[in-house]
Amino acid sequence: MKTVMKKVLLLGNFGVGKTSLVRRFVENTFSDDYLTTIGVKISRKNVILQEANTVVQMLIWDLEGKTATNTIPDTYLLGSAAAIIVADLTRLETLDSIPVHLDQFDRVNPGKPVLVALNKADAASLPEERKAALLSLPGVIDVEMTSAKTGLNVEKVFELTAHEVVSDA
Amino acid sequence: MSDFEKLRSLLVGDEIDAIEELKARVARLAEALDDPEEIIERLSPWIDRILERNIGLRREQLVDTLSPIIAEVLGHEIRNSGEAIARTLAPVIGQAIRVQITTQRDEVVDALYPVIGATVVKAVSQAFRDLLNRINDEMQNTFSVASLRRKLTAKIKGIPEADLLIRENLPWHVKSVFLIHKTSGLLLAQKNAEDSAMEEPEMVASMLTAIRSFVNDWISRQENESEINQIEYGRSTIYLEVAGSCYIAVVLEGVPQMTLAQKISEVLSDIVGKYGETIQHFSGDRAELDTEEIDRMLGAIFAVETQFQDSKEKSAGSRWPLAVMAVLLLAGAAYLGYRTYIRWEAEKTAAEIKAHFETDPYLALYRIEPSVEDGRIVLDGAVPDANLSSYASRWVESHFPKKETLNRLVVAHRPDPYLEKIRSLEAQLDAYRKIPAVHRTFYYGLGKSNLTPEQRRQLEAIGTIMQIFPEYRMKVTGFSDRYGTPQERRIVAQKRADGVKKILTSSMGIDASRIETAADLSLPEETNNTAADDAAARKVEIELLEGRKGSQ
Ligand SMILES: Nc1nc2c(ncn2[C@@H]2O[C@H](COP(=O)(O)OP(=O)(O)O)[C@@H](O)[C@H]2O)c(=O)[nH]1
Ligand SMILES: [Mg+2]
Repeated sequence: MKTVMKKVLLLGNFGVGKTSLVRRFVENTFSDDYLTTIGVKISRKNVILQEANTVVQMLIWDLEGKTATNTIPDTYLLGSAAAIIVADLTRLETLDSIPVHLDQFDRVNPGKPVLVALNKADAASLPEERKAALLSLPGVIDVEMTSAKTGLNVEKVFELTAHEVVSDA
Repeated sequence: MSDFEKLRSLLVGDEIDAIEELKARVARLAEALDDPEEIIERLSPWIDRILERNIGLRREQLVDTLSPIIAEVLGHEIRNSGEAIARTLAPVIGQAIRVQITTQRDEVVDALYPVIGATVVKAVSQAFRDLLNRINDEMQNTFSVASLRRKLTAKIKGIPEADLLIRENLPWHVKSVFLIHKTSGLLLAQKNAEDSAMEEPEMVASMLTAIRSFVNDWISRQENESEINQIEYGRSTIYLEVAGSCYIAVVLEGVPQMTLAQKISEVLSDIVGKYGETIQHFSGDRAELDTEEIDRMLGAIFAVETQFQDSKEKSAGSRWPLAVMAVLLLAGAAYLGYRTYIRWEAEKTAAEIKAHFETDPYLALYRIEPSVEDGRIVLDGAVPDANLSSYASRWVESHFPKKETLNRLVVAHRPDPYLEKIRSLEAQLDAYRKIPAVHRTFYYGLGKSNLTPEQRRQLEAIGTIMQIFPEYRMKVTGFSDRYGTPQERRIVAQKRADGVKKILTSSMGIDASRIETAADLSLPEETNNTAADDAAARKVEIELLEGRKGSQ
């Protein structure tokens, strides 16, 4: 079985649940202190793709904008194989920022796949047509309702991402 | 009463009375004007109305008139009863700062940067310390194995254990070497010292990359355009060297010799020369790389240490504690000149001086620590000769004439190969600068297309200029003697030019796009077809051109 390493970004406004999603999913992570210090937290998770006979070693960059308006230096985004953009269903304005994150990601990593995680699904829901609209954004290959609290679809989002980065190559 | 008086009384009697009364009133007024109490009493009902009207109609003039007075009054009040004023103002200050930040963000940021900058630096070094502590903990676990091996070695070799202990505590020790993809932070290769293990090297590689981006992002907002190249804390250092689309991170303990830095960049440039393309397009699968060969190349970095330790072993073997000490001291002295790392200091003057020293071709290699103590500029550190020492303080004196300068630089006399090299380069450069372009011709033996070692050395001197000045380009034209068909002659000529180019690109890391090659089939003009003439025709001509675009 071969191993490939991939850099995967977690993007999304402050407080949408990025760090919580990673915490639910990963095997190993650096202390949260790094997040507050330099705005990045690195975690690792290996996903085994039987059919592709491949272990995907995902190096997950949880990025924190230093301000409420979420300005992340482009250099942090460089060389990513995919991004998971997270929004908070209990604060619909965080959905409006999805295209902003998408633009920055696509500018730095043109053509790379993006998954959207609509988090805190345990606490709120979203009309289907809003979801469909998100799915039609360029580059977005999937939109999932997730909950870091109950674990809903958390594995699924990361595993879809693993699939995507391997088939995209 | 006379007739006249009667007549006057008849005609103007009323007026006279009025005049008398007016006289009395004028006298009263004159009196009142001399009495301020009286004026105030009379005017005060009006003042409020006047103010009301003026504020409405002429607000701006009023503000202009009043502000200096208010400032003065405030200043006076603050001097006399500062605490009371502070209590009064405190509730609005927070709000004032918020307003200031929203309306004049840039100014606020500029004002705060020096302070925040220092905080950021502290935070980064803290992050590194944590990271390294993790690594250190890991290494601690192997301690018992190490001590066991030491005892065994002592037995087998008959060397006292203490000598071995000293050797193990040499001034520096490479623990781990990472080769990392620059932008993604993916780990291309990694090698540990025998006595070391590294937990989660992939994560460490990503983390180093994030920190590197963070620091570089921060530095790029400062004025100087440097790169972070070394992080120090306590006895440990992570040395970073970048080339092409990857960088090497060497985790080491202690202060290394110059040869290590040389070796690191040598290894890196070899790797980039050989695998630059592959690395650039690395997709995360190490099978794409020639891992065995890259591992071998990285191993050379550890070998520097081994060579160094071997040379130490000879003196340690003599069992003279003094000799051991002498070697340690010598080693210590050899390292003095080393550090060329970047450190930021909140103190602007010190930072400015340091920034200059770090880019000054004569001083960049030496550790000079400027600081400001009691308003005096103090230079600490060591340089190899007195000229450099006074050169350094002259610069400071001329740039900060108002401050007293105290030169505490130690002159550590020793031959410095780097200084020599820089001086000779400087001399060469001066020579080159005098003519707009460099021309050099290398001649080949019969049927040969490779340079002699001496020619190669000369070529590398020119290559060094290209490394230092990225704006230089080179044109290499190959020629051949009169023998052979035009096609054969062209092949030989081109091969000669290509050989020159290859040396510059693959062993000196010069970008191929900066070197243009050509084959020229013309023969020297005054040829009599003698053997000497033939030899003169087997050549390459090298032209070093200034300017990125093909101008001349
Ligand atoms: N109810 C609910 N709360 C969540 C969920 N995920 C995160 N949170 C909460 O949202 C807050 C912000 O989460 P965090 O992971 O720090 O967000 P980040 O800034 O995007 O990293 C925390 O108080 C979490 O407990 C979720 O799925 N459901
Ligand atoms: Mg977070």
